[in-house]
Amino acid sequence: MSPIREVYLSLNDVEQMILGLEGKYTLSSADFFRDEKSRERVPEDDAFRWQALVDHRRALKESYQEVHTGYLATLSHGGEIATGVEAQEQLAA
Amino acid sequence: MPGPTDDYLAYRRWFDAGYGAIVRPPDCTELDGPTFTYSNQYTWTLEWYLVFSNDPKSYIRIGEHFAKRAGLSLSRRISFSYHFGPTVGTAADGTPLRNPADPVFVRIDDIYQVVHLHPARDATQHLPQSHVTGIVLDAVDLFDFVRASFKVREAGTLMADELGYRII
Repeated sequence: MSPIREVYLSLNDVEQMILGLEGKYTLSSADFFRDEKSRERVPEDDAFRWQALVDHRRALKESYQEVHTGYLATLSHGGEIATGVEAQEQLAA
Repeated sequence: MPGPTDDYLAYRRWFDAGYGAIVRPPDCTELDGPTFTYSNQYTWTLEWYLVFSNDPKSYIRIGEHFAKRAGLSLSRRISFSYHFGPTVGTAADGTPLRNPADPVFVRIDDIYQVVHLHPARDATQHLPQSHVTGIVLDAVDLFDFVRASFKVREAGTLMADELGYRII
């Protein structure tokens, strides 16, 4: 079996890990990206993880939004069917 | 750029082939194997630790992070870090501890600055491409880096010799 691992983090997991880094360095993610002087005390390996986690958070939020939008579209589509031609034919029958 | 950056699947095909061709020395173990953190087909992170148990105790850490190119259905490498250096200490989970001033045999990364090399003579130095000849720093193949590290341990050579670079 391949030892290669795949880890799928939830948005909550990612948020918690980002909070962990923010707490460790008493630095918000916004300041981490904005303030060069503040982030000097963050070692490169943690900086690498921090940047990656923020990207994962953005990607997960976009995915969740797509799913949510798709769900709403399904609801809307279902509503049209109920009031559409099929429903009128059913009523007529 | 070594390895495809189109998307996760393309990268994984490339990585799996390279990984399958790697022959680890007997004293070399992996911490959990290469780990891919994945959130969608365009956003993933690779972290891979290889630890050597014989003296001089040392480790390799490979890190690469990819995210989507704005407006395109393609990814790009956002940051990377290839590290080979002595093990100074280990955390409870076996992960090698690292502080910026710890010695390295070499480290190539683009964290905080444009791609640069931390040389063995002083790990705190950030040497940009203009100070390094023989290789293109951001085109170093991670598997070439790993194989060069194996060779250094086996033959007692230097990373500069194995990767083919010179500091100017």
